[in-house]
Amino acid sequence: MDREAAVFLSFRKVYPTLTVEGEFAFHRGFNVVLGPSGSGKTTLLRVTAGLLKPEEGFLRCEGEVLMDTSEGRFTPPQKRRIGLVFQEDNLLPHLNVRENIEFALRKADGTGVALDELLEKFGLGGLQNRKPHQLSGGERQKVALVRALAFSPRMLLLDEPFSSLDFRVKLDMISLLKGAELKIPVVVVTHDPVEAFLLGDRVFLMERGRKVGEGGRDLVKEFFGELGDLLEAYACS
Amino acid sequence: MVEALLLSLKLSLATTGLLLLLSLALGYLLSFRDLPAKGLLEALLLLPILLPPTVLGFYLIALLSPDSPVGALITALRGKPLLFSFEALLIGSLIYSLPFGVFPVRDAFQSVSRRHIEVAYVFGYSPLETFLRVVLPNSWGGILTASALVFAHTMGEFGVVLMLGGSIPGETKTLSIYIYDEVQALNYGEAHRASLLLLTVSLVALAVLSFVRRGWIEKLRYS
Repeated sequence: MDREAAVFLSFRKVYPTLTVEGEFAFHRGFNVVLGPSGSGKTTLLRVTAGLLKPEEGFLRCEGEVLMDTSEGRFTPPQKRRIGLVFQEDNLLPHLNVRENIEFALRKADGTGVALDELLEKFGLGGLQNRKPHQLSGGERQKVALVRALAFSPRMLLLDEPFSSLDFRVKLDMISLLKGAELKIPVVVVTHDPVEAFLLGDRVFLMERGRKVGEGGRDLVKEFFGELGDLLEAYACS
Repeated sequence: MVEALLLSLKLSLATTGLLLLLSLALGYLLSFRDLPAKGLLEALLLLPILLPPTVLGFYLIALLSPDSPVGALITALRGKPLLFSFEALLIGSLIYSLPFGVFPVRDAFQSVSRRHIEVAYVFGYSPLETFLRVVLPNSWGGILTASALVFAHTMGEFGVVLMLGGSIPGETKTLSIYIYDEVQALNYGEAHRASLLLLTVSLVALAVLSFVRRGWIEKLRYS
């Protein structure tokens, strides 16, 4: 067990055709879990958020044990204080932008995140009265991200957050995320090596339910060969 | 005729209001709780659609008659029998329209995105808070449909009403019974007028609910 890690997760979840299992030590900063569809990435996030109970599991987040199946401990998602952004369809359709963010703010731990400040900081001031269906895909994801941050989470989980966005919007969102200077562990799961390369401080490779590699950003380069060189050239340009 | 119309409206509104509350509770249980024999419960709730109103009415007479233990208890508590009273009509209407209230509400609850429910959980909302703040506000379409169906079904109710209430003016003589009585007395003109009134009131009520429902859906619809 990596005692230095802000988050340590170990679990085993059995499906009829696949078993997802592994040990993951997430540090503060960006931890990218990279793998193809069906490799178990989303299972990892759902187990971490408390939305899925694994057969076996242990989760320690910033010193607090949130799950330990060997002792019958399972903290429900409501008590975990973990922010989550799904791939799409995050926003509550009956609430406008401001109300969606207030929805999370109401349950934040009282550290005093000012809603108006957040809206201005992330350029959402002009959209605050719009309903989700009146926003573009990028704007919806941005609101979902701001909402998760407004919750003052101790950890942030992003499930393929940019995969439904076009490339330009995706890059803007990545810049926004990196510019937010988050001091918490952020776990991003993606199947896109570009996202992994641009975001990852640490990268975890998953295939068929298992972790098959772990390392720094260079891991993406090594793993994807020529594509890795292209990524590096792109990042330097 | 006006008296019969007012009684029909009173019965329909009371049935709609009470059945909505019952449907919200049953819809919640059927959608979000692991119940033993849920399939059997759903089949029981659907039975009033299959049973002829006379059969339903007959069983309710057997249950509520002062000769039965339940009926005897109710008679002792009320000081008079329940049968042939407005309350008996209300009980009959609630059971007769039960599936029309429960199933649209259940379907509306089940069509709320699972993801939105999980969003609420992750942000610290309990299942009850999530129901009130996420599920209910996104289920108005189904709730309004249930209201329209129950209201219309009760306005046009005949068999159960006749079995349980007879035809006591001001107490159990609803508009549909009034029409039947007028036809039996060969007063076709009055039966025509009463039928037109029943048709108009039902149509207006349904149109208003449909208008409200459409407005609600437009408000939420994704582009």
